Amino acid sequence: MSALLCRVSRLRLQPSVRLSSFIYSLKFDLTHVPSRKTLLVNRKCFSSYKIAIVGSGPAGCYSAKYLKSSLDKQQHRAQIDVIERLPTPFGLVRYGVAPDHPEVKNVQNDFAALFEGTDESMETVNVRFLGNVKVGWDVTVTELRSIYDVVLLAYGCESDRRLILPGSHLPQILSAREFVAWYNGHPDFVHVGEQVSKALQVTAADTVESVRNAHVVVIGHGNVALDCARILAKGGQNLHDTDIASHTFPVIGGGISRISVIGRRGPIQGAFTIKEIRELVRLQREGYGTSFRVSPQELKAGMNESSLQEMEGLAGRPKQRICDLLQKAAASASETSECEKRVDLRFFLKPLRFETKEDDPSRLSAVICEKTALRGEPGRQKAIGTGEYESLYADLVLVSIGYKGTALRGVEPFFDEEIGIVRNRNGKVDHSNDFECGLYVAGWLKRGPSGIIGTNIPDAKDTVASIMQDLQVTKPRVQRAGDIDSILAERKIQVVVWEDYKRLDDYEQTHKRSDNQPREKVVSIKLQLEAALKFY
Amino acid sequence: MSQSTDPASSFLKDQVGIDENLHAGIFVALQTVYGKQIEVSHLKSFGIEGLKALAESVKLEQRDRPRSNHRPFKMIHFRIPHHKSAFDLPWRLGDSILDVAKSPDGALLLGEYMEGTCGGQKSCCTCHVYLDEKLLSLVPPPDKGELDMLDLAYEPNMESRLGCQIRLTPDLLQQIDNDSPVTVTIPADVNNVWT
Repeated sequence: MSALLCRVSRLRLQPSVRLSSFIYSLKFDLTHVPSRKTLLVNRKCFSSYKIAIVGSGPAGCYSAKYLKSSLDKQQHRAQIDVIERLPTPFGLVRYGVAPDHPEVKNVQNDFAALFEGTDESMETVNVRFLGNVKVGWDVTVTELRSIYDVVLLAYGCESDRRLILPGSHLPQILSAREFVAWYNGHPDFVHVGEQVSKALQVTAADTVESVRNAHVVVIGHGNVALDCARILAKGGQNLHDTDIASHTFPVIGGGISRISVIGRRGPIQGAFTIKEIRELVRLQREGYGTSFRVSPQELKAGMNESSLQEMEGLAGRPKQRICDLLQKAAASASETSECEKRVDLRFFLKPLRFETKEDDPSRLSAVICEKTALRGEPGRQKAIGTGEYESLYADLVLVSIGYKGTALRGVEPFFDEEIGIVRNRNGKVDHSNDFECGLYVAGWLKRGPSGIIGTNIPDAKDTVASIMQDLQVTKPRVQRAGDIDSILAERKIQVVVWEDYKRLDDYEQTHKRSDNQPREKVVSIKLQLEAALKFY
Repeated sequence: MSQSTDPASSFLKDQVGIDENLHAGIFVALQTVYGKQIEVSHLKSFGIEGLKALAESVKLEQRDRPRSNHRPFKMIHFRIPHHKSAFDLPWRLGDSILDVAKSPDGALLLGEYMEGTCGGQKSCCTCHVYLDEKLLSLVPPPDKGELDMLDLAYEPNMESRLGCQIRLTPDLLQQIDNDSPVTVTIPADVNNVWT
């Protein structure tokens, strides 16, 4: 063995070559020692591509998964670093999926397998998790592009589509995205609780079980809007055995008495999916003390000619089923007994302005809406104002009209400010050769904030195909301006690697308020880092 | 094992509505409390809700425990038209079509086509497949939960099913011909929520 080692040391090998893996590759072939010429020719097999993925949500993780398998198949060596701003991975799977949808979070197990104990000398493609590293602050996109071969942006949408109307600055009007992040225990949104509490006028007399006598209006017809309505209806206590953040209990208590979900168009045009509608319809039957109402007149108005055409055929079947479900719900409304809480799913209402209380102009009192009607061809119908108005009493408004992407520094030249996505072709962003590093995008930042977790599967495959195409004609770069570990160490960044996250994960699963909870989330970055980086 | 004549098994099946393949696991669990012979009275004292909860955890345990390869099986002929490939894989007694895709052999060939994101809980449509007519007629029809997820799938048609819901039961095993293997077709894409 030592004879072989001497041979190896006389060769000029690239710094990135792992001596151990080199020896390993010879391990099973000691009888045939390659000649020096052979070793030099084989050199390019040993240098690794370095790939950075910014964001560890579904887009980042599926991209890492498919990149790894594509690189493995072609026997390229690579190091994939998944860089995440928060100490915790998985993005919206942790902070977006509703607490009463735990099975949707199962995908975390698939993603965890990516980062689990890969023996670096055995694997040709190694995937690392680097948490608590803020790209744009701790290290810039430009710097990443000077040390990696590929940078893939998968950091999703951190902002909202804005509803700019008179009164929309009032503190009782929040974005649904912030509200969801709050009930899911996102460390950056803990302050939302106080805002919600004040809007609902929660007092010391309100217990964690009592229903809050208040009106909440949710503006939007997507699944996020329905999630908000459902969580508000169920209340914190009913979700005690889920991973909902404990700080929701004193605020939303036993649930909210009146919740209206409003949208401009009709039931056929709604972006929600049937499973979430069914959950609202079933609330009463399942013992949450909440009735579900939809107006027969509004349903009828929703069945105009163009909408009926939108329901035709196999493609229209999902819409047809939603329609049938809502009609059944409307018909059986008279049979349901009165409940303390109620959710109304309203259609054809376009918000015009937010009115304040006469005696207190800092408090919201109502949402003034114009009734609409549908005009246009199937698939392109628009909601036109009818000149009739409706005033909806409201203590709290959640605006759920879409998330929106933002540009990190270095990304602005490629960013479409209006839509909020990074301009790309099949995931490829930068077609210039300004850097020796390709720039790519995947997920919501690429195609806009729509779809479900699984929608990232074809999305990631598309971007990975573009990356692989480019890597066919690119060798790993020779000049790198450094490596990420040294840069972060120099800047004293406390990186949370996978083993550290597992400590935090374990902590959350063992310090629970209820045995039936999957976990009790730690809601402050400081405490998360303490649990993660503790050395025993 | 003729459990069909056993009164305890009949009770579980008829009165509580628990699937037969979970009975063995439930009896094993209850034996730690009540001893070797499980009677109907034992089951009753455990309570209906308790038995249902026990059935759920047996189900999960069965799902997570590695299954023996020495089970009777039928072959499935998988077709992937958009990648012009086709191959055969064994479908073992008790497995769902998603289990086949997750098995060691299946994972190599099918892994990226059937992610099974939600782990088989009817909460996604990444295991969406098209069944052949024969198999479609032999399996129980989809329930609302499955139909809800199929609504979100890529180009669903009348042969669409969620792979995680199609399980090879002892009955099904009898009804599938050895001469004409079952054909399962993989759709050209995953998840096309209308947007």
